[in-house]
Amino acid sequence: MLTLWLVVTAVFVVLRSTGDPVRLLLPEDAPLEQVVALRQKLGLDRPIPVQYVRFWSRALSGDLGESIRFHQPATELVLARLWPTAQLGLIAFLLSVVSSVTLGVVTALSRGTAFDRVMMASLSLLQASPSFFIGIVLILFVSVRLGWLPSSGSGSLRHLILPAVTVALITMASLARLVRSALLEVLRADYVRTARAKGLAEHAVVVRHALRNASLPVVTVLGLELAALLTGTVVVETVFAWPGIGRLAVEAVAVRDYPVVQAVVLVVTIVFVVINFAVDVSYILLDPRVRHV
Amino acid sequence: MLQDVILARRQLLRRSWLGLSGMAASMVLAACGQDGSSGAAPAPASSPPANQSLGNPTAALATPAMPATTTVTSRTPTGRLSELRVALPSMPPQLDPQRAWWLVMQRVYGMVYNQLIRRDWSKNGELVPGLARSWERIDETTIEVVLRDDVVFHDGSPLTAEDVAFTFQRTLQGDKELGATGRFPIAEIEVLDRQRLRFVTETPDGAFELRLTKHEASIVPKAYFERVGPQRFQREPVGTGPYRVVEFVPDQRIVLEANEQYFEGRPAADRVVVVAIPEVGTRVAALLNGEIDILVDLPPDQVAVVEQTGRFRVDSFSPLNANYLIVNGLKPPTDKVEIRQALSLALDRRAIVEQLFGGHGLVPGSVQSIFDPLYVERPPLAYDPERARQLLTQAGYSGEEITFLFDSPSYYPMQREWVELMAGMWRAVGLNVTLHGVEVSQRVEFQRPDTPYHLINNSTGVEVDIVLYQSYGPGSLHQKLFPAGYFDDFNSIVEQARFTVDNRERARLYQQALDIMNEKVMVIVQFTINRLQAMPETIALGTDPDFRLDLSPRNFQVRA
Repeated sequence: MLTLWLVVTAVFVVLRSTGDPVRLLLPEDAPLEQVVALRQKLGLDRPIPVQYVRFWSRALSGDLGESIRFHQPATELVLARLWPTAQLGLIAFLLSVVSSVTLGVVTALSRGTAFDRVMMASLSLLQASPSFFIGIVLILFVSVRLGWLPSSGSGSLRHLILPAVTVALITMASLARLVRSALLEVLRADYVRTARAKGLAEHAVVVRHALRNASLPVVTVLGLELAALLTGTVVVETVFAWPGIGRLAVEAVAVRDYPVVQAVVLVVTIVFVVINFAVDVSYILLDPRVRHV
Repeated sequence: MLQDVILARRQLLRRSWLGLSGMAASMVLAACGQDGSSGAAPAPASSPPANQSLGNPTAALATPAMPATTTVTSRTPTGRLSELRVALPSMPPQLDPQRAWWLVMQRVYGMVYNQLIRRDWSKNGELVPGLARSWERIDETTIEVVLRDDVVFHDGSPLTAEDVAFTFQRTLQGDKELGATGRFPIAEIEVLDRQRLRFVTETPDGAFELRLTKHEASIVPKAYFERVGPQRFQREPVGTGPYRVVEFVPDQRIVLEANEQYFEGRPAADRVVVVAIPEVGTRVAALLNGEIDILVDLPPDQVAVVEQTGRFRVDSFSPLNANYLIVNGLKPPTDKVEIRQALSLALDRRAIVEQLFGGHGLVPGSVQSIFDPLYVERPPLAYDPERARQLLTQAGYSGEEITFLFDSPSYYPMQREWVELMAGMWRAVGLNVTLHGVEVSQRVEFQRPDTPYHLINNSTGVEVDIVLYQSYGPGSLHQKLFPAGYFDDFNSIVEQARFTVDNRERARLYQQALDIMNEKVMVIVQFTINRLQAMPETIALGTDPDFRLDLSPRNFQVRA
């Protein structure tokens, strides 16, 4: 709750101290009286504390105001864009979790081999690549050269694949490296040696004993990644013209559409807070030690 | 063959050099309103016959770069498309043509609306009848318009004089949120009958016909508008244009269907889908991939990528728009006219246009466009670094900092590059200009009389009738940035010009005003950057310097 309040307040103040939506709405040569009158109509002529109180009194009753640009309730706009982003985020998340755990385990077990080294080098390269670059390269090869998938837009599963893969690739690169190092750490532990000494099969050792214990740092990062994916991947949404919440936020900031920016920030903060809570709960399930504390 | 029908950019360039005099003559005709021979649109009574006294406009082409428009000249449409997909850099947030006219909105307005008078770009922008069958000046302040009787709105209701009156009445009611408020100096609108009405202007206004061609003069239906209200109208607009909006999903897509009853004939595509693809690389990929048919705002550096495929055509055209710098004449050192002149003379505009924009642009002689109906030839703005250095010495300049605020990121392609090139040119003559890139929303904040900056980038419309008084006249920001009285000579001329109905006299007066603007360097005009649109060879779409995507069958055709 405190987080929520801090974030929304900070955005409220910072946004209002730079830029003026009215000057962007009216023609450049609009007379000053027209500018002043419109500012008054939108309530932007009042002191920031007054606007702030008004904002909260309305927000608490569920009204986040009307978009200056679209003349539509901001909540409506944000909710309409939340689902495409969630779709993209969830698919990308699943792809990246499956691929990163697989890659992490495989590379950890083949540690020191040529395969491991090549994989680690490629993952580092991938992690270092900007997402727009990966996106454009994918568009160039998969859409333009091969003609397999559409380059941009939304509406079907085919439209979803390229942006989801782009996001997944970047997330996967960092996650796979994390899984690998966490697993390597655990594999050196005494209980793993004990498990092996008991004569357990190697896959049982890795999956039941090592992976489970290696999962704690991974889950923390996963939670943050999921929250980031669910709340918009601005660059990828822009490259693929995906109608998500990230693009909405960026465009709203550019024209200082205050109500929309505030609504986006509020929703995004809530998502982060909820996911962080879920991550904390998952510790209890994964780590018996936490339960006893 | 369609190839003959479309005047490709290069062909037109070649032709324009061959046919200079012909083009010049027709532009001069356009300069005086209407061609007397097109009986439907009688020339204003007070307008003298056009003649050479206005000079030879085309000789002023600053660079061999084509300020041309692409025109579609075939009378018989050859084929049809079931769907035309258009990609814009961003989506129009609303579609009320009188509320606002950002560039992306203007593109769609060209599909949905018409105005009483339109500029015919196949005839160099001559004023020709649109929804009006004819118009006539009764006296200095009265213009009578007769409407076509075969026009219906998308909701099926016929166009009447009441709708026209309602449209302009809206701009007079003082609605501050309406961009069109105050754009028409109308004292009274008198509906004579179903098809006829009279506008009485507050003062004599020679530019009234031109104002009627602009986006904010798009005619909206009274009954429908009153029924749905202004909010719903923004998303469920009804006009008279070749396409009607059937679906409007904010920020995602606009779907339009052909208006089968369109008064200029059946449009060539059954449906139009407008989408936004913000990233240029993706937009080009979508075109090459056949996912979209018309790509708007192709940056000049992407022309080769599109053309090398051999399947697409790029049309380059000069828009009614110029880039310029707001100048602060209050703050030293730009309070000295010599410094301001040196800033202008140091710029090798032609080099920027040629090398950075690949020739897709032109260097004007003032803020006025060659497509202005009142255009008079003027040599391109001079580049003379030697003279610039002399002026700096004369003014006793010793490296004081000059601050330059510009948009970053910017709507204009390669603005960062051209700004840096300019800074280099200034440095070469000894001017110490520092660059400050900010977001557009912050830049407009700094456009105020007490601005801390010396130079601020901006762009403007370029018809003297529309901008010289409104944007540069008394009380404008540009003048507030100079000592009071500094532009009194300019002001007395524009005050006189705006009440002059005689086109030739008005053109002459405005040239005097432009001379003063140039001499005193009220602003530093940079260049006009061409707009580029790309499409498959099978589609013919005439260009519109006023940024419409005009999809009427006279301007948009498909090869069978």
